[in-house]
Amino acid sequence: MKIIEKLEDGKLLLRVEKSIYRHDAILSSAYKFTDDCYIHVDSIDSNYYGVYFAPKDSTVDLISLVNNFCNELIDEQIRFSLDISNKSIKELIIRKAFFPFQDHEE
Amino acid sequence: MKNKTINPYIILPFHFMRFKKDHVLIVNLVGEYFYLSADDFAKMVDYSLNPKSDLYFNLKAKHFIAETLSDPAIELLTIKYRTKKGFLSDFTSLHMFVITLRCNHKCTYCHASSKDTDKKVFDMSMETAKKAVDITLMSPSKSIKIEFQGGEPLLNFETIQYIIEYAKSQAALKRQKIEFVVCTNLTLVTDEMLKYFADNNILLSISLDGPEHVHNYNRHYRDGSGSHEDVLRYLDKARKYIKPENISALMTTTKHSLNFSSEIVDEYIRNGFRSIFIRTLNPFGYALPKMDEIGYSASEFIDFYKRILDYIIKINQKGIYIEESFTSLLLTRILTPFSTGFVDLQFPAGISISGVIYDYNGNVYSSDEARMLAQMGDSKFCIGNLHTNTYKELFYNNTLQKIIKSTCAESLPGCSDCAFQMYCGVDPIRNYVSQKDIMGHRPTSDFCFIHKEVIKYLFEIILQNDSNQMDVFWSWITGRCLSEVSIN
Ligand code: SF4
Repeated sequence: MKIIEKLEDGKLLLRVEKSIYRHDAILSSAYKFTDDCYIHVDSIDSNYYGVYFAPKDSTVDLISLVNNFCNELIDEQIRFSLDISNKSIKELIIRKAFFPFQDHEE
Repeated sequence: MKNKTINPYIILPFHFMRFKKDHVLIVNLVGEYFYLSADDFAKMVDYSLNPKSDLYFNLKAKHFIAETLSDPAIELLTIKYRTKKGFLSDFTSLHMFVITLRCNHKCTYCHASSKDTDKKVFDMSMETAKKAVDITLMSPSKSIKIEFQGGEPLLNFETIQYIIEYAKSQAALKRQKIEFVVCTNLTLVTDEMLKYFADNNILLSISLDGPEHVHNYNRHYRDGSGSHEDVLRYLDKARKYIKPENISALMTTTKHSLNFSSEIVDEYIRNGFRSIFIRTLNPFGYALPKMDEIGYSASEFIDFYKRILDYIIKINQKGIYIEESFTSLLLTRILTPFSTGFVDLQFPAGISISGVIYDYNGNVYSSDEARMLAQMGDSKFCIGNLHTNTYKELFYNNTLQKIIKSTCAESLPGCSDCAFQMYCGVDPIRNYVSQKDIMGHRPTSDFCFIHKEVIKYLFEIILQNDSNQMDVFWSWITGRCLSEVSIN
């Protein structure tokens, strides 16, 4: 099975492993490419998401765009993992910043 | 990434972007940055840093990692965060009064809005002015700025005087600090007005688009003749009365300005200005019918900005102090812990939090673009009228709260994970006008493109860490000339 597949209608399909990447990370990455492409995200089967790319015009180099998407996806996945691990610290900092005495009173 | 329970350190919240080849720029919650190789970044987020390494200590010192939750670094970060967001407690500091729509000019970029000089029905009445002052001084902010805008405000000088006198007396009772700025083309100013401005310590913000051929192309009288010569003549006169630091100027960039970056700066220096504010053309509204003639793309603007900034830096290095005001604002955000509210560029949006605009007829708008939109027939962002609404109705209404809530960086796709979030901002009304949606669409937004490229360019300079350039930046941040900040 190919990771990147050229479809007959000119679209490209990228298969993204569910066990590695979060759905939100795929959507956040996809958002950044919506200037050049129409992007559709789907669940292909229990193991893979399918990301379908259709260029908005003929000047778009779809292969290099999808390669860039793959790199962006790694960054987005890192962002989500970090967000999860430091969400409570972020909340603590913001709460203490705006309600400095609350934690002492509790 | 390693299992959370056995992580040897805590990673504090930050955003990152790949910056140049194989390097990553990381920026924390309070805008402190660190630049590291992609390999080191991978180690950092994988919790594999050597705790004895310099990198580990540097990241700790810069508040990117901490050892425990009780680490003093977290407390410090909290204080810094509070300081950075200090502008939020300054609700609402900038109040813009549209004193009249009449103008003796008809400039290329505000063609549709300026009214003939004899049409006094477009003046703000004393009654409206009084109501506007009353509402202004209900703001909790301890430091209020009233900015007189037009049209040409000097055409309704009596109302300006009335507002200044009344606002001063009322602000004194409430122990609020108050200052006044008159935004003027200067060509109607008299000795009597200048004396009044000098006596009352009023600031003047004038429009100067560059040397004669640039200024006159953009800015002209209603009969089509350019106003450059008169502006400079009146500027000379104004300088006889008013302290140099109380007169500033700003320029609007049109297509015609793009080829004259150095000439524009030279014109400012020749006329004694210590700052220049490079503004983009608002590509919607008043300028819309003329976009073919005066518009340009976001990347053309960025080329222009880079050229003009490079030139300004060089001029400063020769010992002449002149700062680019927008760059200064961004540098303060990047290089210092201070809070810098700026109505056009903050999260959440500055609309009504930092600035509000009262139209001549008493209508209240959360920003100038909202007012412009209403003039074009869409009053969606009119938050009420001074004659029919109370302070609470104007500033605490649901529509406004909804808009402001939706403009926190965390809720904006693209901005929510952008490394420049701490330096940047959002303008929901501009989003609505240009992209038909207050949230906007970052990948196609000129606003985003321009801010991203400007901040990136500043980082390119900062990361070179060339003391000749950094001294210039520090001189702008501190407002002192280069000889005072240079350590060489
Ligand atoms: S507008 Fe663009 S540059 Fe600014 S924070 Fe949002 S994504 Fe970043």
